[in-house]
Amino acid sequence: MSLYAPATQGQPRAKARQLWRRILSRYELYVMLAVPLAWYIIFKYVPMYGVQIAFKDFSPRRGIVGSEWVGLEHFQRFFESYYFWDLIWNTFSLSMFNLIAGFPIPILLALLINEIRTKDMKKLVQNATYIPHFLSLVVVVGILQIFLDDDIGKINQFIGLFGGDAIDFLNKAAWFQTIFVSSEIWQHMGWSSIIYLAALSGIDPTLYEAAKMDGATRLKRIIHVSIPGIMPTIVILFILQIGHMMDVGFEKALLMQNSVNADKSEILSTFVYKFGIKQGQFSFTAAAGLFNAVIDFTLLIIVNYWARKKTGTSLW
Amino acid sequence: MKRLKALSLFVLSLAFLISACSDGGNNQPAAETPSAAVETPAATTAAETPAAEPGASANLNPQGFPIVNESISLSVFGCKDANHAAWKDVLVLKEYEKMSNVKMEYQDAPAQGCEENRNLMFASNDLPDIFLRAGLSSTDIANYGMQEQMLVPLEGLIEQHAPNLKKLLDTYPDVKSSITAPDGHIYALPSFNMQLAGRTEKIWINELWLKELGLEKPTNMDEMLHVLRAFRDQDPNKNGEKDEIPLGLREPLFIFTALSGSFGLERQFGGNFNIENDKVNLWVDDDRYKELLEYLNQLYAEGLLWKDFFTKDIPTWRSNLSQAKYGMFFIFASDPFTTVEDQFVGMSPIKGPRGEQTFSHATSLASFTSSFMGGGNFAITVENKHPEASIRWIDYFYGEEGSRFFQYGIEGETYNLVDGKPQLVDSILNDPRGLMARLGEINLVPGAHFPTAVFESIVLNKKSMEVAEYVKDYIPDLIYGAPIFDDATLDRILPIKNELDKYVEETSVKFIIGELSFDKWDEYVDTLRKMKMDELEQAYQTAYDGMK
Repeated sequence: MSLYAPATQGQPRAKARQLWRRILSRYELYVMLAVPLAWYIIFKYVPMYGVQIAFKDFSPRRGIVGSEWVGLEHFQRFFESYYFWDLIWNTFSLSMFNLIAGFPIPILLALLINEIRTKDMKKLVQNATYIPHFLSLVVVVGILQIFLDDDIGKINQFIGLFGGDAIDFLNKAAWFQTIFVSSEIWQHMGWSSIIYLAALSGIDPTLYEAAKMDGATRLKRIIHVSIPGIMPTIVILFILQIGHMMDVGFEKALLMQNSVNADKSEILSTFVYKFGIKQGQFSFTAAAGLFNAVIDFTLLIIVNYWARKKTGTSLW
Repeated sequence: MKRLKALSLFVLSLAFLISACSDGGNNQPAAETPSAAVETPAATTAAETPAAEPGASANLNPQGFPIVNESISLSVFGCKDANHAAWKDVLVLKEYEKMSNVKMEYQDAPAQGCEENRNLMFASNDLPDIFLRAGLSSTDIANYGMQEQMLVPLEGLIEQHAPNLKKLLDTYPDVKSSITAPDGHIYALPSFNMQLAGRTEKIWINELWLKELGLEKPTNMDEMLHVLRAFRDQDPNKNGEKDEIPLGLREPLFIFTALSGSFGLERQFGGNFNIENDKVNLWVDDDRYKELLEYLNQLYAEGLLWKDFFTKDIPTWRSNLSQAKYGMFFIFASDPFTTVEDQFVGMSPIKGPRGEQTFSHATSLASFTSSFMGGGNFAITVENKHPEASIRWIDYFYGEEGSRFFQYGIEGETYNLVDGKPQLVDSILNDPRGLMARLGEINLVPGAHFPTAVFESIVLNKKSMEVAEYVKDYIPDLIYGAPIFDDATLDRILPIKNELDKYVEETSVKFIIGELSFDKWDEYVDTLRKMKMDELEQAYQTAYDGMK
């Protein structure tokens, strides 16, 4: 306790008061934040305590806390399932396919739209491409079924015009992933390109002018100015998509499934829905879901670390 | 002004959050109710039947109506068929409320999603007093009845307060044993179908087409091929287009039920089981099953089988049915296609490769878990404070008077006695929306599975009864319902059964449509062994030994 103490002691208090004043002066922002924050806490964080039923034999009478522990029994049953490896592979390969084919397309679309001169044309293309995003999944699968039907489907009629044989798209396991991914791309590329367009508009126009003066062609300008300019956005969105690796399109797969294409269309989430939730086996379902989440999380950490090392951009 | 805008935005978003909370309440049972469940005392034992309120026995009338002197109220959960009106508006139920003095608060959930609803009720321990036509499977009974003790044992109540039901169970002891769980208690009540025609699917064939082509009904596999080919090629409906579908199987289930009897394969225990010399045999690995699949494969390859049979698109199947597009098909009654029913006539099962002529698509006398759908149809939960009144309430429907009341309604109003037999009034029979839609406003007959004893079925119109005659003699004498396993066995075999059923269905479809060649049959059988098929068979064998 020296004579100089009051000054250093006063500093943290003063700092705190400063912070508090700053918060109060912008209270509108915090008020707006309060509601989604509360939603996240109540609906996403608080229910997490329920995940313990993955390690218990959940009994409704005893509740979550009162049910007895069974350790890794449900996980064991999950791993020993005849279908386990098929499910992992189906889920993983579908997700990878979606990523590799689907990730670059919105970027390309954004780059293309960015190069359009006339404002009207730009708006037209943008609107036309992102309208399908608002269609409900059920409607989209219904459209698929009508177009791809091997009797009355337009695609097969088209093939017939050229003398080809009708292809049974909907009932062949080999076609499932292709149809799944291409319809995903068609439906969401417009919407996903919006964020890249926003990023592109943030690139300093003088950079383009400088490049033009140095003699860069349009293509060269795209490669050397546009793409590096939006690279941080690309990396972040890539990391986020990896975080959803294992929960690829549950509802869509469920709608497109049938006995014949089940070889490829049965993914982890549909399996768990049919055998876990439908039959009221909540502990088993929780175990499978937890397994999913752990894999997603691990992938997320790995990719984030790699991105940070390689590009300096990362989620955290 | 800015502050005002911010404030109003805040209030608006708060309002959204609150409304979302109240709607989401139903979907977040895990977050909210388990805390309540933890505070309630630990699981009660079976010995503690719910305490009746003091004076309840004084309120109860041991016989006759009303059931209780002072009105009581019970909450009821059930699955509503598409043709049912809201249960609180159903005529018979409203009338019965007046008669019995028991008010029922119905929570009827639509059939789509009823299963999830029911599971959630159990999982969140938020039980009604009664489960009525709620599709309780034998798994639910084993789990929530035996294990969790959420359902009340009924045998004592039946003994004392349910004379109609008691009579039925005493007359048919095999029914009694099939609805009794391994711990000796009865947890749920079935529906009885006293008429044989009410327990079996029927085989229908288009007589108009047969006459048109100068053909007879097929009696064996070759003749059937011949007739189906003729249906396909010779345009018997004379519309200039080859739009006839010779054999209209509705869904993959029919692979196992429709023609299997002709190959010596029965449907015991609600599954693909045979009983030969007291031995239970799961026949999905049999050579006889291979023969059946080969036959179906031939039908499919020649375009004689409805090519979308495995898509489970029932609305399209029904639409084809009502346009009389099928030459031959299987259905319980003609109500979905009464406008064209006169084209069709009944048929007996064909003789298989060894001359066998059984029809397997039938259920036992008391359908508990039938191959059609449904399950245990009436159960009382631990929340129920008036179990005696509840059992008396349902017992009426197990007697002849109550059964007729349930099916036909009120004499003079909805039906008249013609030659001593009840007949619905014409305005109901000829309702422009269809008989079932109109009936759904009167009672809960559409969709079946109401816990009652059906002595004179109202669904089986004259046509269906005629068609039933052709299969009556070919149904196995004794058909066992699905057994109720104890929890330890269930834990062991349920995963096996689920995966096996899935594998068998998918592989069978592939064999039939030619995706998989029959060279791979041995691989298929090997995989079945690897999936522990023998263990499953053994569990059923043990259950059967206990049932005999």
